[in-house]
Amino acid sequence: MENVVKMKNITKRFPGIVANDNITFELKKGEIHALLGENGAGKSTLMSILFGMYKHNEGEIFINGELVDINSPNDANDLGIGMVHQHFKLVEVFSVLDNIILGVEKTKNGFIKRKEIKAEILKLAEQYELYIEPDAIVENITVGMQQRTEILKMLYRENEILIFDEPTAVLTPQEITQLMQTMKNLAKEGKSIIFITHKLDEIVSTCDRVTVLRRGKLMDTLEVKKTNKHELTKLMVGRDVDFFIEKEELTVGENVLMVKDLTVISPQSKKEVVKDLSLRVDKGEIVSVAGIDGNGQSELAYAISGLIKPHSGTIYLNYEDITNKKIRYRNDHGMSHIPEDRHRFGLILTDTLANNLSLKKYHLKPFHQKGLIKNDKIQELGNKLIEEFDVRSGEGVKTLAGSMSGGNQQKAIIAREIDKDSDFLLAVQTVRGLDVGAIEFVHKRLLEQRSNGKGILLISLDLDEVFSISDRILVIYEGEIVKNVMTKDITVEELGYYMAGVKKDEKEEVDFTEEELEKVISLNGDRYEFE
Amino acid sequence: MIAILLGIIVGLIIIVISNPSRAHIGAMRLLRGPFNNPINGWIGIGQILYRATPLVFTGLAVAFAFKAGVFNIGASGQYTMGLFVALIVGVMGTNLGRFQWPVAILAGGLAGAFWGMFPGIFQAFFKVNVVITGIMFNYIGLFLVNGLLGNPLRKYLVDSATNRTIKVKGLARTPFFFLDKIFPRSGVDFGIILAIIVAIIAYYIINKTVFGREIKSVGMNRDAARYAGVNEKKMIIASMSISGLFAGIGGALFILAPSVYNLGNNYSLENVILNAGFDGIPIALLANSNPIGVIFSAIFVSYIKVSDVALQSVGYASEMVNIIISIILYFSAFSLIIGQFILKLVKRKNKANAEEVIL
Repeated sequence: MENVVKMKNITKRFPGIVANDNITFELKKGEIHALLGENGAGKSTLMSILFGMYKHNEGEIFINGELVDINSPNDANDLGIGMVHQHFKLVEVFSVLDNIILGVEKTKNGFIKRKEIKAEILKLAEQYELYIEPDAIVENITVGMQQRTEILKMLYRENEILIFDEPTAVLTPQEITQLMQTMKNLAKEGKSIIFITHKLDEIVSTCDRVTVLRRGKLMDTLEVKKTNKHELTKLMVGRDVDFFIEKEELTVGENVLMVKDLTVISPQSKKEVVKDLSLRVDKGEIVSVAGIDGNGQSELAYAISGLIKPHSGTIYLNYEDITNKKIRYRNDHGMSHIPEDRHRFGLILTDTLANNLSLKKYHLKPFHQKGLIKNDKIQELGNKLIEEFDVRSGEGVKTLAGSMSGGNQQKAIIAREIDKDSDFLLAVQTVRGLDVGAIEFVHKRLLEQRSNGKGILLISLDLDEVFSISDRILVIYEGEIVKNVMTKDITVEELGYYMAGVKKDEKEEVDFTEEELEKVISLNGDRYEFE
Repeated sequence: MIAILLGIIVGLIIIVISNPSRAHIGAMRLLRGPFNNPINGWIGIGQILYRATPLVFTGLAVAFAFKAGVFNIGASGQYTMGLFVALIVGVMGTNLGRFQWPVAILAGGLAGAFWGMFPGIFQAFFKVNVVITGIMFNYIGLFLVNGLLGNPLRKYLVDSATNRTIKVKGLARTPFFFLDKIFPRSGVDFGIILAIIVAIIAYYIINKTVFGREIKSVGMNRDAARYAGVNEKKMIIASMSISGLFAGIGGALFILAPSVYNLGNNYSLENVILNAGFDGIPIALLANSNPIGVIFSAIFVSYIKVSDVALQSVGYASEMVNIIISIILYFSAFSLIIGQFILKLVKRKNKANAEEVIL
């Protein structure tokens, strides 16, 4: 088969770093070619060069055998290269149809030939089994359909070379299967596909060849049939990684977190995003809340941590009613929180690592005396945690948090939260944007906490994560828990149905036992007796 | 430093362009600043320190609020309130004896704090931007003071002939301390010492205390501060109140100053917002919000302002000095950006090297 794309000896330097070091990449006609690598391996840079967003320092690009000079995404488009970005580039208030034709409208006397175009698009959609509603407004449709809109956008422009940038990160298991099928169909029709990912299962199931990059260098290009997951991981990470983390037997202790009939109204949309939700977490277990993004997970986490006030309902921490307690009270009474957005909440990026590591402790003894901060103690704590959690930074405790890599920033947050030795840990999206090595680290630490008898509530969009470490899974759909199941009793496929809202269990009663209730009453007073 | 030099050079160029025939005199006067004083340079230096006193306080006011991430453009209003209340105590509180001036300063400071608190409250609880409420409270303060001086208090506080407030006398005045021995016949008084003490205290609060750390964390990342358990609403109100306190003390010290030859200062009932508060903004920026730096940048701005008088006497517009201050501000902003850029480059290099080592 002939090469439709050949990138020869590409080198791209950014100040102080070589993002792509002498990389040669070939794409054959009609193949699905995976581009595999950790964060920062140079995948995105390489594709941005092909798509005309960056200019390479050295090397040549051939499209269909001809030497080309790509200076902008428009040039790329003219050469038949299309890209589905990780964050979709759609106009939210436009219809699906308008988004597809945007910029390439076919007109007659200045008017758009809407009818003809619609027929054309529907035909395309049918041909590739891409189900869409042409007249629906983009902001109202599912993420899956938005992605199909993006794909149709490329097809409508008659692109022959299609780049998918981590397309499965936002999809349900069913939608992923569907997308894989679509990609196969496209390849069969002669389109050539580059598939950027770091999920090995998807590569093995769909792709023909795979190119592995590590730290800007080309490791190898392999036939998928002649390789396996372990070899690929080793190429990608540079060492062996445990896929299956040893887990100790589950031993559940006392209740640590109880959420009862919680309703949260979003401050932005003023809608009920968490509806009458109840859940419990006991000591020694990891409970996951799984669901598609935007089903109330963030708000649930905010309410538990105190960042927003719930509309109604009660939250108990170690049997104590903390619904109306301040955030600092929660922090000081046994709650740790690894926040979803580490730049917005987790760290003060313009402050030093030492100060970030002591962010929840400096107001406590022995870090101050009569209101005066004792800097030596803060440095000491910083050095201790850096050592213990292997946080890598340029200048030790003096490093600005913002200058560290994402993985190390997350390590710093985890160090801080685990060091607090809280009974309850709220962990939200702990591995987002982290590479395989860092994910392994985070999960080992969480399991360690479980062994130490802490209760962990893990809110995650990543099903691999959910299945690899949690004991029990709660599925959240439109602000309600629709499934409560032990991890070993459910498959990914079935979970997908609950996540998509296709299946739904009756609402379960979650309440304290008689014995527990006594503790609640003794801690909070009589007013609970009559409930 | 480079910024200041460049600013002065550009200032000199403007002087040459705007009036070439007298340029050499103008340029000399600008550079000589205090030494233009015909009698002796010490008087000039004393004069600079005297003029710098309120500026240090408004500079501190703006700088302190900056630390909490709020822009206190309302320092003028707080300054005016401080001035007004100190004036009342200074004129009517004669039975306080030798405590009259410290009480007046304190009262002025509290008035400023009270005035600064409102924009803080509006920001914290109603999410109304402090800049907007700050500007509004500048006007409210101005007209409230003018209104009160216009009718109910006129007979006690205003000299009808000049339409200016009367001057405080005797024990209400800030003492010269021993400064009139060093800088004879200039206006400098105990206020500048107080300014330096307060600046050091402010520095200490910001950098050494738990409270200061909470203020700073709110300024650097409000969400993260909240997440860490800082009551960010309380901190914004507190920082605005403290900011107002500083501005208020500045106003009080202005009106209580014995000034040159023991003449005292007064307040003119015009519908113009006092400039002192706004001057605090470039001072704080020039000092990069460091309280200790504020002392020096206030003295520097005062230096240029003193040259202003000398420049005017050879026929230059009084705006000349403002032009120079703003040019310096621009250059210092540039130098900051360039400095950060260089820092970033160096860091990136280090980071790349570090990665090399690690992996």
